[in-house]
Amino acid sequence: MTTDGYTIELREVSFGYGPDGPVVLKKLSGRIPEKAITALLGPNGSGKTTLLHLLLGLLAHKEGGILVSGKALGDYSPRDMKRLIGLVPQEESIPFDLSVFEYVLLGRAPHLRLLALPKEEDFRIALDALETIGIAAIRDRSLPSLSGGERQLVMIARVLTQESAILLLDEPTSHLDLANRRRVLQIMQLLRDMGKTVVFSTHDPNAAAGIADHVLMLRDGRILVAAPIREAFTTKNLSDTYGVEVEVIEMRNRPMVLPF
Amino acid sequence: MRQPCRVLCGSLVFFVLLVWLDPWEPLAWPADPLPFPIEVVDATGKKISLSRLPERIIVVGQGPFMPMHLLYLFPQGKDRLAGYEEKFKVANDFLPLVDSRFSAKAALATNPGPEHVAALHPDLIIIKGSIPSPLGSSLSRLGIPVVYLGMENPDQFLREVRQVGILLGNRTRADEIVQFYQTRLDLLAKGLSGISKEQRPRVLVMGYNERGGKSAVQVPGRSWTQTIQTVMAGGNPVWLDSSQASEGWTVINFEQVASWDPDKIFIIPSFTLDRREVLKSFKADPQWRMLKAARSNEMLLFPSDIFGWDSPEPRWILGMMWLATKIFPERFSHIDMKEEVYLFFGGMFGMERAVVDAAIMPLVMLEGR
Amino acid sequence: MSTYRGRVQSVRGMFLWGTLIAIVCLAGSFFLGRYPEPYITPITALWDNEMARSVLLHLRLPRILAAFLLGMTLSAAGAVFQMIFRNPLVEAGLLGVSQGAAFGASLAIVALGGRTATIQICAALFAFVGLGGSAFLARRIRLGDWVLRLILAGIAVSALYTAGAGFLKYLADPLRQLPDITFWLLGGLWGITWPDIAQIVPVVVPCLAILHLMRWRLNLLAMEDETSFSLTSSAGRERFVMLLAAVAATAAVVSKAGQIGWVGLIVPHMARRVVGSDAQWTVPVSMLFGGCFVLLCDDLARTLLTGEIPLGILTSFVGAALFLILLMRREIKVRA
Repeated sequence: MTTDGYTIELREVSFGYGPDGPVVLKKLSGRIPEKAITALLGPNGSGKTTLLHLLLGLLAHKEGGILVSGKALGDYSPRDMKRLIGLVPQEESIPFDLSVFEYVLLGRAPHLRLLALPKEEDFRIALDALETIGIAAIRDRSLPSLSGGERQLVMIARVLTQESAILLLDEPTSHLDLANRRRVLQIMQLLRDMGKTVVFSTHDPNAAAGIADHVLMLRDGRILVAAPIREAFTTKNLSDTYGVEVEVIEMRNRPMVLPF
Repeated sequence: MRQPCRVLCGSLVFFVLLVWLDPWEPLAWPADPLPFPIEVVDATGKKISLSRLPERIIVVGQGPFMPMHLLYLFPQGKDRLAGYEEKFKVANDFLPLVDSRFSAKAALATNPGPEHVAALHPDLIIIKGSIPSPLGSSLSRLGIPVVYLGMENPDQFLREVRQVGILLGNRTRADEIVQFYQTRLDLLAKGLSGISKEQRPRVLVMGYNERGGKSAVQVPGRSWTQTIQTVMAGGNPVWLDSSQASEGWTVINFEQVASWDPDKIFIIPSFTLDRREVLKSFKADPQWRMLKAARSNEMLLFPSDIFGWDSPEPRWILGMMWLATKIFPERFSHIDMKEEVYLFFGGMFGMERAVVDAAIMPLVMLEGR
Repeated sequence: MSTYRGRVQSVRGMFLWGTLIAIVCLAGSFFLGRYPEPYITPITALWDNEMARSVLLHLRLPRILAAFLLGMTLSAAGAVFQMIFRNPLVEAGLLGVSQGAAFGASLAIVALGGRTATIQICAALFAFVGLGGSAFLARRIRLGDWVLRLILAGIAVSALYTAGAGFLKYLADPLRQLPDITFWLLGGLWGITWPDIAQIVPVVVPCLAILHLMRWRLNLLAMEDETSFSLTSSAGRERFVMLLAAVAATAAVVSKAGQIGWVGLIVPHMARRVVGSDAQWTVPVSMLFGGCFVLLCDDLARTLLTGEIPLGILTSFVGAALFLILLMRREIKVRA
């Protein structure tokens, strides 16, 4: 599937749970450019996961519009949406010991008819995805036996198999140690270089600082900042977003955030 | 001498009066002198002593009709029975024929609590069973004597007849009843003297309800009344041949029946079914039809009137005799079953022939088909 | 094996083995019985006498088919329930399906005359009401995700039904009705005839076909809601269809055979131990294992002793024993 023009645009998007529930996201406006990595930053409870779910189409926004390459999300057919947008959730707990390969193969579902089984082509794509990520060696291990880092990579392999142009990742580095964090961040860069639009949420600004091209900062359900990283990463912006004093320094050509 | 003449006439008048008075009316025949204390060992093995004869007897628990019928074998039974647990309306169809004032008895709803029972002021509770039931235990804790009657087989039945005789203060009548049964048992034993196991026809007595269709039926437990009736009537019960999984009704599938291929088959249909239809359906079934017993017309219905003749209630003797006439017709041709029915209901329950003709005879299929 | 060619070979292998095993079990069972002699029936019996032929064709054959279908259904349904509810300890009892059937049967025995047809209709009806009740109740609960809600609702409905059945047992006449209810609850196939097969097959075969065709999708449906939503637009509908098929088939067989426990719980586990957790394998292998398992148990039930042994007892006993053995031997893990 070609990936041209998959920019996401948010226009005054609002969302609340239930008809009388509190409004969780208030008039969000901003742009998520295609073929780039966009980080969603914000403290816990600021609505990052909710926004990702809205982009996925899992939740329906109450007001405003979400457009992907100029077309409203609601106008896409469900089938096309599944081929377009993939999600790596925060965690995937399965009480059955599926093998890595079997799990990754599930990413082919949007491309298969209801009763169809994966074919040779699907196998090949899944294997390619595993190799791209560099985990082909563990393809026959069972999911519960994987470490946190391996599991994260496997989940990414799955959305890669899905061949979706837009990849949403919910807190992909939150539970990982240093080495695994770096690996995942590198993979995300690789995905971007492959032409994917990568959107990930994180509560750690340095993860964003490392690889993001574009940043959306949320606080209390509002977008405080939506800009390329250099513009966005200022002491003032970050302090406002997180509610604590921070300092931004430049390190090896990338910004870095120092909490006091 | 006028004096002896007058004595003679007086005695004659007295005697005639006595004959006129039906001994079964409430103003009855005096019982023997009351034995004190009244003691029985019941089916649970417990000894129960009463300081005086019970006047208000209540029957509860499973199958209440069985102890009730046993009580009614005695003239005092109908007076002393004060109430009973109503399980199934069928219980009320027979005793009103014997006792015109049966409807005056207190009928307790199914599964009464001890308070309900105690409210009727009983001085004796009778429960069918051989292990104490929760209701019985609660009632004995209230101080009301509880007697358990096992009523599981003919031997126990006769023992318990004597016990009830003690409880009602009428051992004479108990002797009469036992005599009635014993005579007939002796008759059967005599008729079967000298026969070997091989000479006994192979018999299957089976219970039938719709649940198995014709693919499976049920056979009675090893020590049940039906088994004993079969043996004492001269039959060889096929279901005793091999291992039995349980003591209750055991489900047997048709393959096993075909493997046994008994000489005679007696069917006990569930009381909810139309018996004639059941027999017809068995005879018409393509598989059952092929059995030896069906081909030689030896597939019969076990007789019953309002109550079955196959349970350990008083009618079992009729069932046993009837079986004998069907299993060994050549040895028991002298038994006139019709007359036996009259003798039983008349002698045991005091029912007149007309009543028996009206209510009992039409239901009994003495031919078995 | 994760290459496509490897997979194709495995599929063919499985199919051949499966068919072979099924044929052997079915054929073997055909010659087990109590006529004319206990245990083995010689093949000459087929043309020897009319009675033997009648017994084999009108009694044994429908019964072994019914046993196999029963096993297939309970196992497939168990596998489906376990994956959709993401819980390996789930079976039909969780949604009020088997309790509904038990209640319906008890009701028919105690209050509606106890005829076979009535029992079956009531059992099937109340099994469905059980599922419907659970689904309806689940919508009203405001606690946790849909899995939790449905399980809670199912527990509530099951509890209600169990209480109802208990009450009916209490009302039942111990001499006549209670033994009937007890035997029904223990389960047995001794009444199965060809008309019963004719009634079961139109329901069970399409339902099992649906479950088989959708077996790969089951993996998706076992994922977290976010993931399954991202991969298929009709996750909710697919789950509903599979649940409906599983319950319909279960209700149909349970109404004829009574309550047979443990099969839906144990057989999918056994299947997983042999072929892994991919539903693409687990579902058909569960069907095969389950069919053979119940068939063999029923062979024992009708052949071992003179009288019938309740099937539910055998499946629990044999199933639990097998399960223990399998649990303790960790080496058995043949991956497809």
